[in-house]
Amino acid sequence: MYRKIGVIGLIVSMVLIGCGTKSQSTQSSSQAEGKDGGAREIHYFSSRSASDDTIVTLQEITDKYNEQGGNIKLVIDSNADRTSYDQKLRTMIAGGQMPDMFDLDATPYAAELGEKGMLTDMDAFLDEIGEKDSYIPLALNYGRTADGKLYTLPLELSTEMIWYNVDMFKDAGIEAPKTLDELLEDCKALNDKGYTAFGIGGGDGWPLLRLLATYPFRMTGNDFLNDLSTGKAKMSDEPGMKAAEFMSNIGKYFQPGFSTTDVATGLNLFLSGKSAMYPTGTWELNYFTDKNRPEGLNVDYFYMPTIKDAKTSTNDYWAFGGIGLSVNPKVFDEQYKDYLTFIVKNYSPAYFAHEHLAPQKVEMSDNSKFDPLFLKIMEDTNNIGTTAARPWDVVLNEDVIATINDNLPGLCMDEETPDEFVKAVDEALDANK
Amino acid sequence: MKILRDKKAIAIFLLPAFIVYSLIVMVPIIVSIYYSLLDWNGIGKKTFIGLNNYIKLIGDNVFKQAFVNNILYIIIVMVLQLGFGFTIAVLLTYLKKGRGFIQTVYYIPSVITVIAISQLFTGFYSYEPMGLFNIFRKLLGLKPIAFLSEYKTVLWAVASVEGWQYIGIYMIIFYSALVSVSPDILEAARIDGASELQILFNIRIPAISNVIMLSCILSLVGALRGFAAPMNMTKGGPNHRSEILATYMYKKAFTSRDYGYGSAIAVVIVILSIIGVLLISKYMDNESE
Repeated sequence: MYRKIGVIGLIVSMVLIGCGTKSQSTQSSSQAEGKDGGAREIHYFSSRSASDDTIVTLQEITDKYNEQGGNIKLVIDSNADRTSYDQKLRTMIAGGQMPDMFDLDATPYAAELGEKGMLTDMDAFLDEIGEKDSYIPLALNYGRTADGKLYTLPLELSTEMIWYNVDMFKDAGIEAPKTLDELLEDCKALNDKGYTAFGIGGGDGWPLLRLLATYPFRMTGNDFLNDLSTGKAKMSDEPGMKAAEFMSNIGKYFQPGFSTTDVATGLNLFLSGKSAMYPTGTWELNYFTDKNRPEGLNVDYFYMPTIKDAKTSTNDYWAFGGIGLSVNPKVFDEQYKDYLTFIVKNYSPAYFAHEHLAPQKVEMSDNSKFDPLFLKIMEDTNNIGTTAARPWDVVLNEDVIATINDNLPGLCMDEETPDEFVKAVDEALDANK
Repeated sequence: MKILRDKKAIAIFLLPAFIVYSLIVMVPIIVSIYYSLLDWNGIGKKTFIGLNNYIKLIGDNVFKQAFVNNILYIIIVMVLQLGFGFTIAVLLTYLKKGRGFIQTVYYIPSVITVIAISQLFTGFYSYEPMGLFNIFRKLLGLKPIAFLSEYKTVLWAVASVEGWQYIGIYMIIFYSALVSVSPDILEAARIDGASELQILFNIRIPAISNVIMLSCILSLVGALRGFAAPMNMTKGGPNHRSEILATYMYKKAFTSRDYGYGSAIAVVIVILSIIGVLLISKYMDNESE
C-alpha cells in the first residue's frame, strides 16, 4: 500500500516539478542578467518594426551609453501590427507580465494603468532630470491622458497629410482641395477620368478613422471628441452625423477591397501610380523624397482640408508625438533611471540625423545635408497652429473604437446608412460609459 | 501482462496523463467558466456579476450574427472537405497511374500552417493588385470582385480557405476506406450489370458508412475550431459579415478588454462543440445498432 502511495506521490511530484520549472522561468525579465558579461537586460516591447528609425536610434544610443561605461543590453521584441501589438501588450499586463519598457498611447487604458500605479510618472522623472523644457510641447503633451497625467515619453513628432499624384490632378483639371467639399469634387473628377481617387489602407483602421474625425475637428476642434469620451455628446449629434455622411460620400472613391487593404499596399498603389491620393504621416516621408520616389512620379501634399465656418484654422491639423515610451515602475531602479536619462538627453539629435522630426528641440547647424522635402515639412511644422487634432483611437474607449472600425467599411461601401452607423456607435458609447 | 488485470495499477499508469490533461484542458475551461461570471477589464477589480454576461449575450445582435455565420461557416467547410475529399477519392480508385503523385499534391496544403494559407488566399482574392481568382474572372469576361470586402462573398471566401486546406486529409481517409471494400463484391455487381453510380451508392457508400461518420466528426470539430483564417484575412469584417464565434470572443476579450464577456462566449463555444459531437456520436451509435 505504502509503495503504491509512494509511486503516486513520485508521479505527482514529477508533474508538479515540470510545471514549477516553467513558472519559475517567467520571472521578471529585467532582473535576469544577460549572458554576455552580466549586462543588465532591458526588455523593450515595441509596436514599431525592427528597422524603424526610432528603434535604430534607441539601439545607437544604447551602444553609446555602453561605450561610456554603461552596462545595458536592450532586448527588443518588435510587433509592428498595431492591433496585434495592443492585444499582446494588454494580455501580458493582465497576466502580470508587464515588459520593462514598451510603447503606449495616452488612451483611457493608459490612464487606468497610471491610476493603479502601474506606470512610471514621466512628469516627475523629467522634472527630476531637468529635461522637461527640452521637449516641444506639442509632442510631449500629446502623451498626456485625459486627466493631464504623463506616462509616456515621445519618440517622434509627426504630422499627417494627404499625398497626391500631380499628373493625375492636372489631367483631371483639378488642384489640391482646400475644403472637404472640394475634396469630394476632386474625387469625382478623378473618378470620371478613370482614376482611383484614394488608395487607402482601410484594413489597418486608423486611415479611415482620421477621415471620419476630420469634419468634427473642423466644426468643433477637439471638443466633440472630448464630449464623446465623457458621455456629453452622442455620435448622432450634428458633428457626428456630418462625419458619417462625409464618409458615406467619400467611400465610393476608395479602391475596391479597401477594407482588407493594409497601409503598405495602399502606399504601393500610390507609388505605382494606381491611385491619385494617399493619406499618411511624416513617418513615411522617405518614400516621397526625390531620392527614393519612383522615377516619373510627381507628387505633392496637402494638409487636412477645412469647411465653411470652421472653428479651427487651416494650419491646425494632425500633429502629435506618436506612440510614446512607457516604463514599468517595478523595475525602474537607479541603473535603469540612469540609462533612461541618457536616452532623453541624446535621443532627439540622433533621431533627427535620420531625417525625422524629433520630439525635442534640436539645433540644426547645417541643413545642406537634408532632403528639401524634409526641410519643407519642417518649415510647415514650425508654422503649425495651436490646436492639434487628437486621434480618436487615443481618446475613445477601445470597445467604441472597435465598433467604429467594424462599422466604418460598411458605411463607406454604402452597405450601411449614416443613421445605422451613428446608432451602432452610440450603443457602444452607452455600453462603455 | 498480469499487471494489467490490477485496476489500481492501470489507474496509476493513467494518472500522469489524466493530470496533464486536466491541467491543459479542464483547468482553462473551469477558469473560463469562472471568468465568465465576472466583470473584469484585465487590470481593475474583478466584480462578480453572476449570469449577467450570458444574459447580455442573448440580446447581443453581433453575437447572433456570429452564431448564424458560424453555422454557415461549418456547413461550407464540411461540404468542401467531405464533398471534394470523397469525390477525389472515388475518382482516384479508377486511376491506374500517378495516384501517389495526386495524393501527395492534394495533401500538401494540410501540412502548411493556416496563417500561411490565409496569406496565400488573401493574395488570390485580392482586387488590386489583381489576384489569381480575379485574373480568372477577367479571362472569362467577368468583372473582378473584391471578395474579402463585399458583404455577399466574404463569408464564403474565408470559409473556403479552411475547407480547401484539409480536402487532402479526407481524400486519404476516404480513399483508404474505399479500396478496403472487397473487389470481389464490386466485380460481382458489375457482372450483374450494375452501373458505376449504382455500385457507388448501393455498395461502396454503405460499406464505408462508419468512416464517413468519423470524417463528419473530425470535420465538424475542425470547423468549430475555425479562427485563424477569418481573423487573419478579415478580422471578422466588414461589419461582422465574416464574424464567427471564435473571432468575436477573441475581439471582445483582447481588443475590448471585456474578459468576462469574452469568456462567456468561449464557454458557449465549448458547450456547442460538446453538443455537436454528442449528437453525431449518438447518431453513430444508433446506426451501428
